[in-house]
Amino acid sequence: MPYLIRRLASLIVVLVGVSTVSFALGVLAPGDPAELWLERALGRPPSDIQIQAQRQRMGLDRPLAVQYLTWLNGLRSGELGQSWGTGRGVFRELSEALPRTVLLAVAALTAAIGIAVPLGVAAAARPGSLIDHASRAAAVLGTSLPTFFLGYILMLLFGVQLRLLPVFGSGSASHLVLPTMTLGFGLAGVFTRVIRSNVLASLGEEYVLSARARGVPGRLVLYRHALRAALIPFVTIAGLSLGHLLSGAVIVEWIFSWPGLGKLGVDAIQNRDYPLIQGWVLFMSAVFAVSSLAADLTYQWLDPRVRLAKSGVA
Amino acid sequence: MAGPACPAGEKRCGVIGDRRVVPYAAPAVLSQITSTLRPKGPLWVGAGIVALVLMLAIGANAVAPYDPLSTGPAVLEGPSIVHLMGTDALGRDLFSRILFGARLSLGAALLTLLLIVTAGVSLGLVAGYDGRWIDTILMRFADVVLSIPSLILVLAIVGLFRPGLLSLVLALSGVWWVRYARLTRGLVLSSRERVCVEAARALGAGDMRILIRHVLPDVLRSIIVLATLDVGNVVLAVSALTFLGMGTQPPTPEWGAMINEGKDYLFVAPHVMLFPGLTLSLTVLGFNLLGDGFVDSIGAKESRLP
Repeated sequence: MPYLIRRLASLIVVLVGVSTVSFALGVLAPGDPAELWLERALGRPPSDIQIQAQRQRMGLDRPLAVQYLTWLNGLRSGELGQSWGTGRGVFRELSEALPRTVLLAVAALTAAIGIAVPLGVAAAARPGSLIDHASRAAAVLGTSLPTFFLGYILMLLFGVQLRLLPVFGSGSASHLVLPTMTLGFGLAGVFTRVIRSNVLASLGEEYVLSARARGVPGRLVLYRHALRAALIPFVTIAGLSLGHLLSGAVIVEWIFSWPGLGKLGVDAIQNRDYPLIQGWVLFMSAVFAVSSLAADLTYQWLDPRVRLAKSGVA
Repeated sequence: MAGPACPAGEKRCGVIGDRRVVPYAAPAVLSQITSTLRPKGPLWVGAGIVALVLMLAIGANAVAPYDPLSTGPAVLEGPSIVHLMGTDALGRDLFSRILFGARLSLGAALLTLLLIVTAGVSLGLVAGYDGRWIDTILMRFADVVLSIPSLILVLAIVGLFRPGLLSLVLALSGVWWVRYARLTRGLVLSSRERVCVEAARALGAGDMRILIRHVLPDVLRSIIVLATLDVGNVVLAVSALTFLGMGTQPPTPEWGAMINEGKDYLFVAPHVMLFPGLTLSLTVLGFNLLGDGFVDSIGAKESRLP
């Protein structure tokens, strides 16, 4: 499987690059981390001797390359430095928040696809109909409404006016509803348009014509033949939306106090928690890279043309 | 609106912002059909909104009824004749603040876009035309930057360095130009294979002349299309960052920051958050309609990507 190996190799190259960037951010940032750390710990400006001692303790007096490798080596012990805020290992903090972000992202993606598939097929079945126009309008709205504004509108509507759903925090399934809607809304609009145009395109293909000629009922042609072919390129689009989902999750989590990776990162930035910020950038990019790779491989596996061409059948 | 994904071997195809774009790939027949099918309405609505917002931003001094920073006794008051959009927690007139906020929000976004396009096009030109080591370095760098979700990288940069509107603009451009450089490079690669470039070379034209007279105009046509599609995204990105507190500091009026201030009174006085939010949404909608309509009207084919 040379393709998989090639992809894994490029994944490693990208991760090395990203880890360098994350590390460099901390080095290039103005201010001496040792001094900043002491200021936090002591609550007053530290003396020069204290700074010197702290620099030694943090390993800041060693060559950059050594610092970089020590930092990366922390991955093995689940450390990646220690958070200044909590004093716990950065890697541990991040991996504890990861499942909550994954839950939110998967919920939003599922909701978006669940809305987009029936709506997109309906729009493609009757181009120019009311449902087609409505879905187009919703798509334009979805890309224009800022996530943070939409989040507060939903909060007002469902949390305050209707008093149906909890507005902040996590814990129960109902806490997930508003963040999911906020994050999924923009995607649903875009996905609907993509499904629509893909179904429209595959409706013109010969296999659809031949299915019609064989007397397959219209609805079956639409769902079994046209939609199936339309879903394959859609996997790529969904994969490309992962970056959007991760960035969106940062804002949505912060608004709704959802304790995932996004909130952790923004809090770290507002606390100027250097090690946590560095680890956060690396971790988010790793999540992004790995999930993009997964989406790519799914696409390869789903499309019979690609799969067969590689195994030498077609 | 949405077209198929990038065809294999289509060098002019690229991903900008949230879209995959194939400028000038549509056959003439197709664009004729789509232009007759598609109403020009959205284009004019978008142009109208954008023109209105830009005029209000420029003329904020003349239009605004109050000083955006002066506080008053009427706190968290709803819309009335005296205060068109009501007042915020310090009794400042929201309408005036939104007008002056437009200057910062749009100014920052347009400056960012200008920086992105300038840096992206010039470096992409060099990389695409020169090939060799500049090209290799630039494209490897692009790979790394593009593999970090952009909002996250910008947040980290602004957070670690110094929060402020200017550093926000610089960080955002520093991350975003890469996409334009990559696309420009692709366009240059295909553009320099054209017959007219070959002819110019045969006539003895130098590299610089070919680059500026033949390749650049060709590239710019596509880049301008993409930039018009991207304005809305940049406005959104800027306001998202100021919303998270990475840009202006209070009491400066700026839309994202105003939404952030308004959220504290969401349940008491929702108008403090709603009016800046609505203005921002409407502006982004205007830019998106304008961009989409513009692309449709010149017959380029584009598809939105999430």
